[in-house]
Amino acid sequence: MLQFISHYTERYSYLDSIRLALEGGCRWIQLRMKDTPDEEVRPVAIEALQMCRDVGATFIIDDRVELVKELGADGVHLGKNDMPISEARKVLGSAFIIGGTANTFEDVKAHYEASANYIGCGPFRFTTTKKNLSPVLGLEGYRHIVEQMEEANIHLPIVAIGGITAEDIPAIMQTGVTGIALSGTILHAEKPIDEMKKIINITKP
Amino acid sequence: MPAQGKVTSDLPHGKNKQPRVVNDSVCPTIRGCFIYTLFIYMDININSKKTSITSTNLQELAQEMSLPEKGVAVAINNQMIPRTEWANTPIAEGADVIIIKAACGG
Repeated sequence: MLQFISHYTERYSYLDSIRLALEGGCRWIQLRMKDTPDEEVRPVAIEALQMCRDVGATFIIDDRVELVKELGADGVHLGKNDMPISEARKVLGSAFIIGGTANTFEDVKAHYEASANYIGCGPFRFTTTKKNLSPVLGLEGYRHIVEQMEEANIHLPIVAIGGITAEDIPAIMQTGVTGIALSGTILHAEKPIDEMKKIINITKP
Repeated sequence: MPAQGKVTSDLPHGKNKQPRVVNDSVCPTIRGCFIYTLFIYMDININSKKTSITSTNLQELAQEMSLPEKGVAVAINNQMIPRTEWANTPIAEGADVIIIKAACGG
């Protein structure tokens, strides 16, 4: 299960990146535009939402709870410094997906109790895509968190994130995580659409 | 047609004109199917939890699990399936289904 997190490079805009991911077959998109005012995010989000609707992809927006509600996106992803999940739930009610970023099992548990619907867990390794990075988890970190989730009977989809490339995916999936979030490895590939297709194939059983 | 011919030819001589005999020869299976039609359960994994379901495709599963119209994303065997394809997506025994939905029930 793949989530593509939008980003921009010298070659591609945010919308380009989403278009490439969708064309490559990804059906779960997160629009992430950190440090950008809402007014600039809104038009991009409207277009991205339409692109996702056209192919039936799930569309999540990072951080902006009100915008998610206003546009009728599928949900919001909340990082550690964003609005607390319980507060977002009050705003959004039960018709929107809320994802939360976790670095430890304690984070996962707290998000679960605050009504998160999935976890973005990382970073797998050091990445330049995100600032203020927490300590890297590696394979062992994921194994440990998945194990603790099972013991605590927390059955929440958990998506590995952070500097993951195609080559890492089989081993990461082996740890028991539910899915993978990708950004840089797609956009920095020579042919992003082909790279996405390749990665989707890797995740097929 | 070959199956039919085989069943008939396997019958003892003199009885192949009696449809009832033909029916009896396949009856245990057919009868079983009728009895179990309403109760066929299969085990799949939903969010890593073993679950018995009766649905044979994703659309039916969505109904069986009372999934809401909005705020739901579903993946089968790691592949995200758009809602428009749910009806055409069969679910097989042992499938790994991930349901991401806002209202967490159980």
